[in-house]
Amino acid sequence: MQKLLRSAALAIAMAALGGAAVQAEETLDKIKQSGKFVVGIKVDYRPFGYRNEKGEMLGLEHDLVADIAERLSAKLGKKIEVEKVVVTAQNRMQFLQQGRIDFMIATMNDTPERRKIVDIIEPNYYASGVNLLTRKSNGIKTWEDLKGKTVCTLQGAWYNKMLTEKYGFTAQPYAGPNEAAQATLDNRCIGFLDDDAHAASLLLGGGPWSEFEVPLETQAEAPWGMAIRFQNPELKDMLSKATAEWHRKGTIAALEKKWGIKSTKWVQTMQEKHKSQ
Amino acid sequence: MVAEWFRQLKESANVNLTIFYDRFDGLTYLNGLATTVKLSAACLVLSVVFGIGGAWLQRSGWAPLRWLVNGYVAFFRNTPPLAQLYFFYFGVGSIMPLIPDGAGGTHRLFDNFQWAVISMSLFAGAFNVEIFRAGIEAVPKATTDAAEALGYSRFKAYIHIVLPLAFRISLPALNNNLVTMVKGTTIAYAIGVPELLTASATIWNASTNIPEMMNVLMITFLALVGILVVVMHRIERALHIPGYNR
Repeated sequence: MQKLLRSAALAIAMAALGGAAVQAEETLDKIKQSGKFVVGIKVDYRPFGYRNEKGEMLGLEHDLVADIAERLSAKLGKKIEVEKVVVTAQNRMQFLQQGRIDFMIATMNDTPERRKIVDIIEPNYYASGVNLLTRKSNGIKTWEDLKGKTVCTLQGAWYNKMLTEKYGFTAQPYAGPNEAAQATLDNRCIGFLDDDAHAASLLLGGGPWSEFEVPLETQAEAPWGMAIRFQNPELKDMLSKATAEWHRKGTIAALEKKWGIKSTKWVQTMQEKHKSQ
Repeated sequence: MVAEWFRQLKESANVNLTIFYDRFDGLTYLNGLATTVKLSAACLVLSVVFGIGGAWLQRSGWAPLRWLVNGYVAFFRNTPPLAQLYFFYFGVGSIMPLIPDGAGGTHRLFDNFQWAVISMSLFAGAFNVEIFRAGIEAVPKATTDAAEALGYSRFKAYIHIVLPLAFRISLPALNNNLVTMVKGTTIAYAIGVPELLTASATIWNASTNIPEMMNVLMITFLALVGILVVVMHRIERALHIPGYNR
């Protein structure tokens, strides 16, 4: 038994060393050698990343990856193929750390805690905030209209207190987005206080959501970040320049339009900021 | 004054009890306390009514009624209370009719608080049926025979003789079940009822004072259940028949 434990410990130690070895190698060199750009991306977040009826992966983030691949091909002087690995919110950072993927673009909020684990590219490429998913027939026009109403929210969302305090509604918190969405469909509340990108994805799904809208001005915006492993200065620099160029040229705004996403103020602001630079 | 002291406690000892100095957090917690008390009181009364009613029907001469009660007890005793709550709220609740709320809108029959009361009363009631059954069976046959000899009908004998004795015998077990039920009201968290656990979670998610709020929550329940236990013991003592069952 003890022998088994010892060999298990050894195996773990070796795996850890192996992980370190992956990190020591410059990702850019690896991409050049293999001709493959391994990307962690989502397919559960329409229209940012989803599958169509044929099973093909597509969406706003998939378009951005295609753009990055073109830039990589030009820079490295050879055709670079994109290899997509489907990630979820639970495994995306681990996949990147372990070297399973070289680059991650997965609707991830940029937070100080996450910056300690992975290298997040600046500037941020997108941002989402909080809005209300509500029946069109409710006629909600401003945040002030919510006063005294019951609103479905998510347990653990940091903005619950701030917005409840500010607009005087009653929060009815649920365990997950699906429970909150179901409660909203069941008329348990005036609407669902949701991430605007997620709300938009529900609306695009149609069905019972076709009677709903996202009418308010988005609040509490938080930026999204693409990420790579640490110690890849060249790749990081290239990605930073690419993102800045997207903002300058209005690429993101054009993609929002292409994918039917309501134009966000954050994207417009970023565009103006980068144009003036 | 008090608020100032707690604010300083945060500065000096890093113990962040926002509920004592932040108005919103304080009101959220008080509302949580009131909701838990209301929820517990409603479930207490209803579950005892279900228990007594069920125990009575269980002795009915008509077999289908007995099956019904046995089925009820089996269903609620053998399934998890959280799953029952979800079943009622999302499973049954979603097909309830829409009723106008008087302000131009509509809402479903039974809101989340009412479903929590229904679901948890039925759950605790199922246990109460068994508790009262045990109490009724402990009433000596000779006592009911005597009642019959004095001309009591079955129903009257149950109300005036069997139940008062059975109730006294059942009290210790009933106390246990009611204590479990009051603590169990926290599962209403799952359907957004703003009781103590929901209120605490709202506060600690915004103020990131999880350890403090966990302690506050525990102390609150310790006090709430403590009060219930004291009251139940008082009732037990007041109802005690000198010389009976000793």
